[in-house]
Amino acid sequence: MIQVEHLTRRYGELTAVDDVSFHIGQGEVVGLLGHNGAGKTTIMKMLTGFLEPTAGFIRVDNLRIGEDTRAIQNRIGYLPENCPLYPEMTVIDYLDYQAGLHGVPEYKRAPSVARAIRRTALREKASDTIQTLSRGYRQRVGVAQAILHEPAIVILDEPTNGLDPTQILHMRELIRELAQESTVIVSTHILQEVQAICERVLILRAGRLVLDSRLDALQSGRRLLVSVDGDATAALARVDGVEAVEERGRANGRFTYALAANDEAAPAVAAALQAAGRKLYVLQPEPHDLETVFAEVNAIESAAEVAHG
Amino acid sequence: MDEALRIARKEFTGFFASPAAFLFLGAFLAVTLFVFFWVETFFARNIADVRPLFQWMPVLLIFLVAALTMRAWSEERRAGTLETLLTSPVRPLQLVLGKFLAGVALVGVALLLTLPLPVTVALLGPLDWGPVIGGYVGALLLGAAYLAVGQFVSALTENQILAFILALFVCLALWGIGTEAFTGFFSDRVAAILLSLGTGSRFQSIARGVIDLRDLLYYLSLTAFFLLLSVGALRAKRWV
Repeated sequence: MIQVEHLTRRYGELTAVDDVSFHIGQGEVVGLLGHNGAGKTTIMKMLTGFLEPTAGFIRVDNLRIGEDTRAIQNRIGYLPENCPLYPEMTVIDYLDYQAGLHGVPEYKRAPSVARAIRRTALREKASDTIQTLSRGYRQRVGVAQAILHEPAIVILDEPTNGLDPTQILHMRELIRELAQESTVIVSTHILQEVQAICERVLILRAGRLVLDSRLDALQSGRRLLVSVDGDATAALARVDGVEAVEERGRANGRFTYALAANDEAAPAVAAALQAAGRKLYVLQPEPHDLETVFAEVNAIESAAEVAHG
Repeated sequence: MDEALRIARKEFTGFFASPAAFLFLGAFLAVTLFVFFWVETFFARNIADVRPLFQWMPVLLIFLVAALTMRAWSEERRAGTLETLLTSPVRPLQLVLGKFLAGVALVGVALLLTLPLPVTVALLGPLDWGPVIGGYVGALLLGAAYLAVGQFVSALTENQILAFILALFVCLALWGIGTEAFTGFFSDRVAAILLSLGTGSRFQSIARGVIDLRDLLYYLSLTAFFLLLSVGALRAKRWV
């Protein structure tokens, strides 16, 4: 459905997006993951036709950005970064205005606006001016604007940015709901975000696509963190399912290890430590964040280099 | 066109959401009245016409229009709403026309507010309405040309104060090249060309009540030129 080939974008000297290619199929929920400045927003701006690529091309349903930009824009609902809105308008006026701009015909406009308001749970704020709304509500107005014309593709740039935990849960729920009908692309710099809503992740670093993987594949290479009251290297190495033991540090009489093992191995690890007479303080899957993923990707890359070198 | 009208309506109502709007219109009206009665000493002249009103229009409208258009695109750029506009399936031309039409409506309101002036004059003495109507039509066209300039300049920057100053500068320059103070420096032939390019000198015959098709065409082409430049500026955003 979306085909991106060798996409490159430069701002003067700076290469924001560097030779990125990927395909996204109908109905997929894809997370664009990367630090600030990794090129997520630039890619989204090119997908929506706001920016022209320096090189490469984007195709949506066999339409090409640049030639059929308007037709593509018609199929896309977009929440830009920082959720820009007109503060002096009321929610309902703003949505009605946007519906008009997105080519929703007159007779369908009121139902479309009502539907978007219902889906984003904005009903009690519908007649308030946008400047009186809290950040969470504004973000919802932004999403409502993106889904007004029932687009086949919804692109949300950091939809949970600046929301409190409850609002984040609501937003995730809404995105999951959207994903039932549309192809959804979400950008974020928080890995948990992707894990909560996406099936597939594209990881960007410094403008390059470093990983394109299904999320379940990403989770398989997990590690267990163990903290005990003494040296347990030998005891841990003997446990079935533990492929490697790496000491992470000693502090306050606690020894911390990272085990290359699935979390299936956790009970066996606990039992082995018990048998060895060690007091177990921590046994948990290693928290998976962007850093550890990057570390893994790096490890894979350098291993590949060694193999090829 | 449907889209342009929708944008125009939104822009027009949005304008009155801020008290600054009333301030601009009020200031325009106050200055117009001041110029008419004190500077041009309407009562001392003892003539029942409103020529001084239109003689000053080319300058007065510059300030009004620069204030009206300074936010047009710079605010959209600053707030990021430009991104929602340019990623919606609306042609940039429609966006530009929408903002322009809203501006024309606002200038129309400002001119309507000066209408009590000729009405009062008509009550005081025998006023010839022909030149007055011609003057208003001309003033609207003149305002349209300034609006196009202001909108273009506003599309170039995120800073509305800068947009205001730039609009003043460009419009005053367009007006200034046709003033006698400036054309006096040149030979007659060059002066004639400059006179035909100045927004103010073009307005002379209109202020006198003579509507020349060439004058109207001049304002219309100036308007179209700067509107197209605005479209170009918006399109160029994609390449920056």
